[in-house]
Amino acid sequence: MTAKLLASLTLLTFLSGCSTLQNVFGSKEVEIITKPIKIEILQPTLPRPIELDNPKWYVVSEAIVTNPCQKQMKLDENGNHIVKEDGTHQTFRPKTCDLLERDNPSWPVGYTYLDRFLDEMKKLNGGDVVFIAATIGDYELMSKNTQELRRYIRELGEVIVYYRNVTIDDELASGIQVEKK
Amino acid sequence: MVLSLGGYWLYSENQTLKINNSKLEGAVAEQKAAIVAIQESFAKQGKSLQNLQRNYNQIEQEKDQYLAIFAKHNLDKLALAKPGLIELRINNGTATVFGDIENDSKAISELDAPDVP
Repeated sequence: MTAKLLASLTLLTFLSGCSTLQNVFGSKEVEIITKPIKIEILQPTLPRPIELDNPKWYVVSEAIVTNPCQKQMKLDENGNHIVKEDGTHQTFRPKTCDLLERDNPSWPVGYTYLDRFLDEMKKLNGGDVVFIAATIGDYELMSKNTQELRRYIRELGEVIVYYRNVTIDDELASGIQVEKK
Repeated sequence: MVLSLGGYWLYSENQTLKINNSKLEGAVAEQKAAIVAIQESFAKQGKSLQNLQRNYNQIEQEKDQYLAIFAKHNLDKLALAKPGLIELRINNGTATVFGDIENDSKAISELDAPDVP
């Protein structure tokens, strides 16, 4: 009888496996493992600002360059200089005068923007006339291209701002895992 | 004797279960906090994306405004009639645009802290 009971208990133990034993000897403590998920993003050094120099554009046509008469002192009825409130003398420009009394006496009558430009080029290039020219249409094109480049630079800047906003000082997200020992 | 042992076993079992319950409650709370943090992060990204799109639109508009000057005026005629005036405008305009580009790039290189309004 005892042998049969022993055999039955042994068989029952083998059949039910370790879970029976675990339940018999009590519950186990669970261990909570918290694993922080942190993405380390190194912020790169930002590029140094752009430094640009301005080119000089010439607008040239055959329009005559204004060559006004030199300023003269304005006199009152008694022939005295008229002094303004700030202490300076009142002046005026006569409508007609000799070439020598004009702002630029070296400019002949009928001196055009084209003449002035060519003279300036000769001065710059030791007497030779040499320059790079652009049409008005091409100037507009250059302006449009510059605006397009500026748009791109500004939008790239906005992208940098976006990435900095979402990556700097962000909340640390964490995932949790429950493990039974 | 058997009753004492059984009582002790039940007591210790109860203690273990209480500890487990407390730990799991803590884990659930932490998990909820993590979900909130993730949601906040998504909200922040959404807001930043909206800002980005708004700024893109503004930049495009400003560009169009600049280019509208050429559409409104016949630069050929103006340059022919008043070359001195147009030369001044063109050179001033170039200096302004280049200055703006320098300032744009300066703003990027001087970026310091995140800025989400």
